[in-house]
Amino acid sequence: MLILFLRAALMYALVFTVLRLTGKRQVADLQPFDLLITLMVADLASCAIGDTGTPLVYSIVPILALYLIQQVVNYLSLKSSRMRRVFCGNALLLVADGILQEDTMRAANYTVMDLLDQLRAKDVFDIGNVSYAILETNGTLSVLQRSECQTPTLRDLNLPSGGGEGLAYMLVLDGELCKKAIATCGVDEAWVRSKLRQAGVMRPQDVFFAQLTPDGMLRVQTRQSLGARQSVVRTEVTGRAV
Amino acid sequence: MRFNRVRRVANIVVIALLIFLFIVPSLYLSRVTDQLLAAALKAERAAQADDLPAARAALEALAEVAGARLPQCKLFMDHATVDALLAAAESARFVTEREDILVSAAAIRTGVAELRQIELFSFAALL
Repeated sequence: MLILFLRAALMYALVFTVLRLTGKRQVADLQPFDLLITLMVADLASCAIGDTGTPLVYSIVPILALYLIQQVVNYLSLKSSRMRRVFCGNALLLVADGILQEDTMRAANYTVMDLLDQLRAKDVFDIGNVSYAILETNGTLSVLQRSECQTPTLRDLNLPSGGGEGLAYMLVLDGELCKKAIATCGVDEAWVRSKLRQAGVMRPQDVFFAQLTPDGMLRVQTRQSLGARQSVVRTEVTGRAV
Repeated sequence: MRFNRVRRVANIVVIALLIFLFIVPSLYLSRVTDQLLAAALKAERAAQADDLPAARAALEALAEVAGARLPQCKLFMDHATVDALLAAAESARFVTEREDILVSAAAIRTGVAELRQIELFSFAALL
C-alpha cells in the first residue's frame, strides 16, 4: 500500500511540474496540440500508479518526451507564423457582415445549430444581431455584435469617465501582508498598519483581505472569528501605474 | 523573466535525464545479458561434450550472476519478464541431467533475447 501511495505522490509531482512548466492556461484555452499532450500525460501517469509490476521509468520517459515535444512545438509556433498555422490552424470567419459563410462553416464541420449554441453561450439569442463571428483555433467563438446591439460606452453617451483606471491590489491576504503589492502601490507596511487601525483592526493577522482600489479606497474585511466585518477607508493613494 | 530561466534549466535537465536513461540502462542490460549468454553457451557446450560437472558449474555461475545483477533491471524493465528470467536462472542451478542442462540453457537464451528485444532498439520492437 505504501508503494502505491508513494508512486501516486511521485507521479503527481512529476505531472504537476510538467504542466506547470508548460504555462498557465485554462483547459478551454488550450490549443489542440496542448490538449493532446495534457490528456496523454494524464493517461501515462495513471498507468504507472496502479501497476506496480511496471517500472516508473515506463511512464516518466514518455511524459518527459511529450513535454520536450510540446516545448519544441511551442518554440516553433512562436518563431514562425507558418509553423503556427500548421500546428494550430487558422481562425475562421463564420459570419461576415451578418452573412453566415456556408463554405467556411462546412470546412469547420460547424452546423448552424452549433453556431447558435455558441452564440447563446455568449448571450446572443438573435443571429441577426451578429456582425462578425470568428471561430478561434482553440474552438471558442469570438462574436462582434452589430453596433446598435452593443452595450453603449461612456464615450457613446458623452459622459465623462470617473478616472481611477488601474488595478486594485490586495495589500493583506489571509492575515499576511503582501509585500510586493505594497511596494507596487508606493506605500509601506507602516502605512498599511495605520490604515488598518483606522478601519478598526489592530493587527494584519485579524484581516481576511484588504484591497486598495485605484480611486484610493481601502476595503478591509476581518476574519470570520471576528465577525467578518467589512469597512472602507478613504486613502490618499490613487492612480497607480501598473 | 525568472520563469523563462527556470524553464530553460528544466529543459536542459530533462534532455540530460533522457540521454542518461537512453544510454545507461541499455549499457547495463547489455553487460548483464552478455555475461548470462556466455555462461549459458558455456553450459551448453560442456553438456554437448558430456562434461556435466563443467556444465553444472557454468549454470551455477549463471545463477549467481542473475541473482546479483538481474534485480536491478527491474528499475527499467517489466518486472514479470525479469522475474521469469530470474526463475529460469535459479531453477537451472538444480538440473543434473544432460538434456535438462541443454533445455535450461536454451530457456535462458530465449529469456535473454526477450529482455534485449524490450530494451535495446530495433525497428521490429518500434512497430
